[in-house]
Amino acid sequence: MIQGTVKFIAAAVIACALQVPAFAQTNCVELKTTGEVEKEVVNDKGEKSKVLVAAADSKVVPGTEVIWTVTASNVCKQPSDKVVITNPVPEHMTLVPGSVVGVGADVTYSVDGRTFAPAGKLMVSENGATRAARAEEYRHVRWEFKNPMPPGSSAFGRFRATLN
Amino acid sequence: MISVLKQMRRVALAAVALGSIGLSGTAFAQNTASGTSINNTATVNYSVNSIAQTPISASATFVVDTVVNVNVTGGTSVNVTPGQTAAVTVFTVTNTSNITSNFTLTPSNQTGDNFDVANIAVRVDANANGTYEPATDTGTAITGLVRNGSVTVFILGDIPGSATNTQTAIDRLTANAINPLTSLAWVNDTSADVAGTVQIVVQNNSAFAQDTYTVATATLGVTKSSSVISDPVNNTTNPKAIPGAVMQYAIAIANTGSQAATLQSISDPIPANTAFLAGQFTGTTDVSIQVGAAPATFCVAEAGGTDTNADGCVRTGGGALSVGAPAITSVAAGSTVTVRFQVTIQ
Repeated sequence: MIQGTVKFIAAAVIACALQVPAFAQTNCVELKTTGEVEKEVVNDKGEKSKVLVAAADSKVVPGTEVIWTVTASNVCKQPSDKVVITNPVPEHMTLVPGSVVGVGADVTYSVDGRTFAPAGKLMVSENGATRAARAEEYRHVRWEFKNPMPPGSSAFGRFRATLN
Repeated sequence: MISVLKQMRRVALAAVALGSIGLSGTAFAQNTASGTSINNTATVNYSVNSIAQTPISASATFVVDTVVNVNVTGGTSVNVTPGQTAAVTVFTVTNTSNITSNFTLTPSNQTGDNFDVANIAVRVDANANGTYEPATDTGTAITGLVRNGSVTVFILGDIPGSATNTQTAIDRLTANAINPLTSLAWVNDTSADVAGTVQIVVQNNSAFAQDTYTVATATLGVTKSSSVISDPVNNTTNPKAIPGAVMQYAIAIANTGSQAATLQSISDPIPANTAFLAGQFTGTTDVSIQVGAAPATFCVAEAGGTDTNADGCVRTGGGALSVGAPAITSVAAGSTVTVRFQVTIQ
């Protein structure tokens, strides 16, 4: 009986901590994810250039690099703050080292989706020894935007990943 | 309530203290299968007026297209002997496509070597034991090889009897990827990709590797020499080959090839006008046999053609000395076997 009461209180505390947005009617931020592939095209003059084509409309085979872009847009009249985008590297894909872009954001990485740390600071244990995680071992990318997003503005994070 | 909060804080501290994360395995599965749906889901957390809002997620998906690739490995050399039939060289064919494929196999002789093998043929290692077994390994093409799967393939060839030691023949195995649905070569899909459909990208639908047959055979040379051991006049001091003298014959069989030769027997007629001398070695034996640099061994060459003690040495009825197994069985590559016996001049 006593145990049951304690559990109930604990559950209530967690509920309080996680489910705060009681006043939000609509979502203030819209999120969009796109996967694109670089494609080389040649114009009339024979000049080569690269264009981005949607991954779904491209031939993507093992070894192909896909550029993933996540864009958050503020569609409210109030600014949004503490904007954090978290993106697990898709299954069957490997993050391309040094490919993460995030203007105005602190970028952190994670192997397990729980512990995030900046590049080079994320530690993993292997065979009982602790070492820095290699870039290709990062399974999650997180962008923490330093400034609030004014109404009508947008922010994006981008990374490249190779299909295994 | 307070105690619960304390507990929660302790749990939180423990999670931070762990710091590092155990890796389940750093090797990534490669060559993602054709048709796999790749989904990317991002989540945004944010606040409005310092009030955390419901996290929003967004996804994008594409389907992995088909890529056709094949790899063949060889590069080994196998020793063969002249006249050998169905000599085997070994290759490995790997389906490096991301889809199951069939493969045709073509064996061929190459130039830039000393000879071609005859009746060149290809066989698939049906039971995957890496050894060619004529009754089991009868297939000449690969069907249904899964992505990342490997199969051992043999090329068989007859070595001409005219081939000599150290000569080589280069053989090549070519594997071509075949679409199991059409039984034809995979066709590159040049049209624009259609979302959600799997299309074919042919990267490398043909590959080859080469092996080498190297002739390794025994090359035997026989020399016979004689020396005078003693004569009735001078005894052992500068003996001359006069009637009554003791002569020693040495038959040397040298193998200058690169492989051991199996010896059936060495036969030498006792020279005319001489008589075989028994008991000349260690007092009781008749023939000395020296293999390479090893100490000599001895045997008894019985008269009358019957090797009663079965030591491999006998004098035939026709007056010839015969030395065979077990006294001598083979001559190793680069080694010499010398048989010595003594006679007296009549």
